[in-house]
Amino acid sequence: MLKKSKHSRVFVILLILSIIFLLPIVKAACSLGANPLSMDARAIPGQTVIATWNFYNLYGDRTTHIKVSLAEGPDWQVSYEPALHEANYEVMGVEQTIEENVAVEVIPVVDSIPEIIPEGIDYVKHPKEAGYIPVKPVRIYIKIPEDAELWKNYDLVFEAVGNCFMEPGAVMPAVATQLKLSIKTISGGYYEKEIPEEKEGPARIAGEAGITGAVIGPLKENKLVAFLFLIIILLVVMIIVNTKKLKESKKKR
Amino acid sequence: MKSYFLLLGIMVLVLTLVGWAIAVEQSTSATVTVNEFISVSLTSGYPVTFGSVDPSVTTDATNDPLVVTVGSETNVNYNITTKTNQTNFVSGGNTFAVGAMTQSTTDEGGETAYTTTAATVYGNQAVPAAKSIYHEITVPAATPAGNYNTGIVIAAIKA
Repeated sequence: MLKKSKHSRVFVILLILSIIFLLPIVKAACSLGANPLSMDARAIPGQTVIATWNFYNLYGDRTTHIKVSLAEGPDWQVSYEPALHEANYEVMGVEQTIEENVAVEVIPVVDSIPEIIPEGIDYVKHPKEAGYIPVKPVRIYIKIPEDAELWKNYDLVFEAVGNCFMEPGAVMPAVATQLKLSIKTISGGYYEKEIPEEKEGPARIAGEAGITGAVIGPLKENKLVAFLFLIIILLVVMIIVNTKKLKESKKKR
Repeated sequence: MKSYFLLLGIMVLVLTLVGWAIAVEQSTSATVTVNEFISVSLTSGYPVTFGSVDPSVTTDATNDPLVVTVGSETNVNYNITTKTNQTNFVSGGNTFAVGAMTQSTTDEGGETAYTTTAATVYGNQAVPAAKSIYHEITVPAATPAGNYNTGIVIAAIKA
């Protein structure tokens, strides 16, 4: 009798402990991962900047349907690949429609990149562990206007919102993250031209030539180079003097 | 004599090259970008439900807290933000503002009303971890009976 109650107590304790330790292992329902989170680009007005934003789903237990949009930034022409579209899914026997750019299934970390890579999937190195994270990329195309101001930083923030289906009638909170893209507008190639000064004074008489000739600029400062050349000159002088002495000593003989 | 001039020539050449090499300095810089990762998952407490409530009575969510977990591969400091994707709770033609629902990091006060603008619930967190969000609702007086819904967006963004 005593043994039986002791065993049942142990069983209850074990049961409680297993529930406590198992709970953290239970997967989340809706999960969204992204990489990278910020980017810098330089572009000439008129060019198109292409940014690749990767998404992954390591911790969910269902597909995350991701919609990408511009949350902050200038009113420039932006497009996405895959483009935003309506997709139909059968969820627990009921047809449901959702807007998405890409649907990311639950795919765990892999030890190595497979020889045959499934379509639409890339792999990025896990930042903290061995292995690779399977990702689905969305390419963002940003057209810089022709009249965009040069040498200015434009900051754009893209938001990715991930939605997961639940049983019909229930609404799952969405998960989201952001990408910050900074674009600096630059000119096509290097050039410089002098901006003439407006000078006051007597106008030049037609036919009179101005001052011409070579313009001697300031001597470049390099004390070390000057010192070395001084040494060279001294050596030359020494050698010439020695040579003369040698000649004279030969004549005396 | 010839050897003198040969030696002189070699010395001039060497000194000139050394002097030029020292004089012509160029500098550049090295840059490296470490890839950034972040993930956000709903672990428990979803969807946020309040059950049957009476108007003007503040009620806690029945499945509090909503647990949001930032994945271990996350290698940036992050903020957790919340917002709604609609301005109202909706039931057919009846609505009431989402501000009737509040969120907090504890179940003892400090509530912030929901809006469609993201509000930071946890700011500049360094360690990937599970974070709890508690919800309350006070349905406005005289709100018609019905099942009301709205959408919540939980974001993890680089701080």
